[in-house]
Amino acid sequence: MAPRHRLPNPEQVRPDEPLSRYLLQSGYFSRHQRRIKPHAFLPEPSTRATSVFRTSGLIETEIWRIAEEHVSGPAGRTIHGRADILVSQVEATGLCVDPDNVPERHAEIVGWPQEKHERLSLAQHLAAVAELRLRL
Amino acid sequence: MSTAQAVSGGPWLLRARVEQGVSEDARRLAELFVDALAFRHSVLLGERYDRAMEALRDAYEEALTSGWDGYRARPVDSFSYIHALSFVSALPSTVPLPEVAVDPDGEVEFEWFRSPRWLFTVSVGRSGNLSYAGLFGGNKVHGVEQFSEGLPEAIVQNLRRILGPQAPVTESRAGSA
Repeated sequence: MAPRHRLPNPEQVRPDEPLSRYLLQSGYFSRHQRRIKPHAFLPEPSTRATSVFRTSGLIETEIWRIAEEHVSGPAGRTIHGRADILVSQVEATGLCVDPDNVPERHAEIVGWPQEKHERLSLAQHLAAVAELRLRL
Repeated sequence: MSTAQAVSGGPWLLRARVEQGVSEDARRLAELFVDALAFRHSVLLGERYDRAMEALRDAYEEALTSGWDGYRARPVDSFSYIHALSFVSALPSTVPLPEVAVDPDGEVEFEWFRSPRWLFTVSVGRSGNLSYAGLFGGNKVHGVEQFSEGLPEAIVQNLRRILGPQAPVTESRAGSA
């Protein structure tokens, strides 16, 4: 189970909170260029939201454990890495972070515009400021 | 890989699907496919064409099923793929081939990357519309153009910008907000 201690406020995110977008698709990042590709942040078409986890108060092994329990494990996939970004960096683009807490610590980046070109532009901004963490 | 091999080993999967289809969508797809193949002969030749086809094929095959990204991505859209074939064929030989990917909405995407803050992306819709976005240091552009005959001027202008001498080859991530 993911650690139940040091849980962030389930109903409200803080600007300085870190978020992790787990990367299960090798095309969503470049190992050679050490970068996250913008489409890693594009929302799912059915929900118009981008799935992330709130990782404040967690150490590295705990952050990866969440990925295994809730993302790569259920999908039967390998976790390649993650894109780390702060809530404030998301909100600076005009997008919002909705802490749905299902499962625990889960949140969604929401507020994506209707037009594809606008979503691409926002995703470029997110990818430019996010930090790539590769799974060793 | 020869051109002939690229053709037979590239959209072959799509061609098989089209031949099986009887719907209006399938008929339209077949027409677009033939147009795209005819178009590529006039512009893209040899190794460059092979590389473009291979990148498109790889992206297509990786995204054939729902949830190919480990989340809830849509399968690659075959219409987008065919228009993407025409788009990449329309690129002048002086333009470096872009990176190819599929977006979670199933559209084929092309990206020219110089640095995290200097890049240009074009996403090809199923109707042939081109949604584009560029980040050029502190400036950004985005919009949509219809792709029919030749590259839209807005795409050409942004390709000039991303590939021009003012574009940094590398850029420090330090100081990124």
